[in-house]
Amino acid sequence: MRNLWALVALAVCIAAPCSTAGAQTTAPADLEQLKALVAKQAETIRDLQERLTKLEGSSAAVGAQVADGPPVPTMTLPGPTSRPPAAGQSGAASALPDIAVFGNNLGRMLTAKGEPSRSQFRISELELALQQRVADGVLFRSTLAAGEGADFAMGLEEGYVTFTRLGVPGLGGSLGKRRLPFGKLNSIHPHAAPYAETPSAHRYLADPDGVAGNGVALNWLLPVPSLFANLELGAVRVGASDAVVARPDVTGATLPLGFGATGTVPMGRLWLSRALNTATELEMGSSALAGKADSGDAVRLVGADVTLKQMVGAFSRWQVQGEALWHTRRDAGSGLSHTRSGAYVAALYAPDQYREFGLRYDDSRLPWPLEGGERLLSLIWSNRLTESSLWRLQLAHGDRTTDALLPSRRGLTELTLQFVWGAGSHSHPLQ
Amino acid sequence: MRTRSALLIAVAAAALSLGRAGADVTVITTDTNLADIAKQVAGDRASVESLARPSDDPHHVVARPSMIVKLARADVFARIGMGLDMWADAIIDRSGNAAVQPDGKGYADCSRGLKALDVPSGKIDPSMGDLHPEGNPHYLLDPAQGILAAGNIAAALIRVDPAGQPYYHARFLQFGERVKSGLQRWSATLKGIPSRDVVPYHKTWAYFLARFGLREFGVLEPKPGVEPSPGHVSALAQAMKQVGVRVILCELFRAKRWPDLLASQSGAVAAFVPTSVGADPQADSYIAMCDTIVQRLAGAAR
Repeated sequence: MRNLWALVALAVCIAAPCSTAGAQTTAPADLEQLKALVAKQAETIRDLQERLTKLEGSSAAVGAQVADGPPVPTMTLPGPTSRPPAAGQSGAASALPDIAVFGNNLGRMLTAKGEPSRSQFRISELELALQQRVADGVLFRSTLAAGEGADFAMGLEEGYVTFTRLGVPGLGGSLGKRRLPFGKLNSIHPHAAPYAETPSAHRYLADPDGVAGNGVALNWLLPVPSLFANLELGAVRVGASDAVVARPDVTGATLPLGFGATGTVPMGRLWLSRALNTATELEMGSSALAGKADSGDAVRLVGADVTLKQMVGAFSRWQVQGEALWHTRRDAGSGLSHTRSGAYVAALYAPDQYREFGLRYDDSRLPWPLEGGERLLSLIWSNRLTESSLWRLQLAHGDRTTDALLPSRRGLTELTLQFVWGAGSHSHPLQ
Repeated sequence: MRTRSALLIAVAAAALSLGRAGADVTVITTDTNLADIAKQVAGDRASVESLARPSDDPHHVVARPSMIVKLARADVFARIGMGLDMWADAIIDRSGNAAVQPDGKGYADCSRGLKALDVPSGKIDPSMGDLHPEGNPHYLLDPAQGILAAGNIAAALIRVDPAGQPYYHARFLQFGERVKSGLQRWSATLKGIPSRDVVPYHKTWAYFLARFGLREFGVLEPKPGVEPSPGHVSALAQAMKQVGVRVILCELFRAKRWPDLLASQSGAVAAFVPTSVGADPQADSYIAMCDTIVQRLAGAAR
């Protein structure tokens, strides 16, 4: 055991001086090399750390762009020869046309006692509208309507195609049945008009339901610099109006109310417009229809319209609009011409996107040989619920000296309540 | 004297032709954001004009005949699409210009290629408000989607002016780099705001909020396009107070009545920001508009 401890002590004694002696022997030369190596490695580490910091920083920046939100669009362009797909107005993944349904509910309050629609709030018209692009430059629109006047029998109110590529810049055309472009209101569907009651001049001298015709028309945007000048000419077949009134000079005979021509009717409208500044636009137009009545009388309807509108802000706007209509009937028997006229002027103001207030003055006579007319001042208040639904009140006061559409009464005050609702995608031609 | 006159005429003709060469392509856009993006891409090879004014709400622009005249002479027509600028359809139809029809070579629907948000699933009806079947159309308020729009415009420019391809491509890349640089800046600014919840007036901000990691806590409109009601505002204000929502985010064109009422009831701040180039003096370009939005939002949140 003693020998063992002695051996260990010897080994330690030998080992210790040996290791110390070894270090002492290499120290002078290697120490400097070692120091240089450490310094170099430290420099390399610093360099790597700097590069790492930079990379981490840039990763963080990239992460801020990409990881925090959806992918950033790639910086590549679609091919230079690729063309956009021919898409419809909406719903690109559907082969169906745009379909919309509109209901126009009217309630006439305060009318004369005994008037059938007095104090009843009921649907006046239901419209089913379909539209779609059917080929390059060809769009079809159709409107099926069921109105109270025809006991809600569904009929084709409009069904036509428009062409935008007729080979001449600015030239377009239409083919089919549609509400004719006469003045500012005739081509507008009742649910889209800014009034609950159509102005007297249109109801008595044109047609209470709008003059519609089936035929062809060409539409040319005249190449006039800085001025919108649009000329539309066509020939259409016009059917008899649903609205008829008793003819006073022939016992038992009736006469269609309004324009009154049937058969082929040439039509024309010149529409001019100029932007006075970025917010204000002045429009003027003149329209004409001519044809023959069933009685053989030659009839002509001429109109002139002026509209001044100003878009004050994103939603607030005002508009002043006036139209005058002249109805001329040349009696086939006597050869004498008789002209009756009517007009309205309206001011509308929308303070925001939900409300619109209006004031309208109507003055119109009935076409010859009918007597009487209407002179009314109306206050209008519209409240929009959504893009396609609204309610509206129109309070009218004045004199009516005909029973053609509503009971005659002097000093009348009538209130019309309108509720329009709609569903589905739909757009209207500009008018 | 004759020689001098001929020389003057030649100089004038040369100047005119140089001027024409500078802007041979006419670009019409539906809004001023697309107009500025188109200017960045087209440079001096095109003249660019917007149909809508900076102060307009893109949903509710009144289509006017003077717009038809502009579109009739356009080579490129760039629109937001997704039903937001549906009012332009009546203008396109009447323009008689084949190039800008949806199948024309100058037609650019700038939403093409977008991964849409808020796409309604199942049956939708008007009781849900004014929903867009194609999804939320306000993608241009995500600055990154400005690159998508620029790409679609550049492609249309190249279709109508193939000789300008290298020029348009280079400018498109430059614009994209500026947007990417801006994204870093805007992201860094919005990372520092204390609350991630905001209440917008309308569902205008889905893409913007998704981009910067913010959340839509509620919407001032009870349904898209439907006017707020006092009851809805009161309930929303109570909920905002419980969570500590600090910002009501509104487009500049909105009336202040409802945002101010919500702000007074909730203690939050109504931040009115430009959403169209030119709607505010500071927002004189698309990137400056994004800068202004981020600055005002961050300022209101702090």
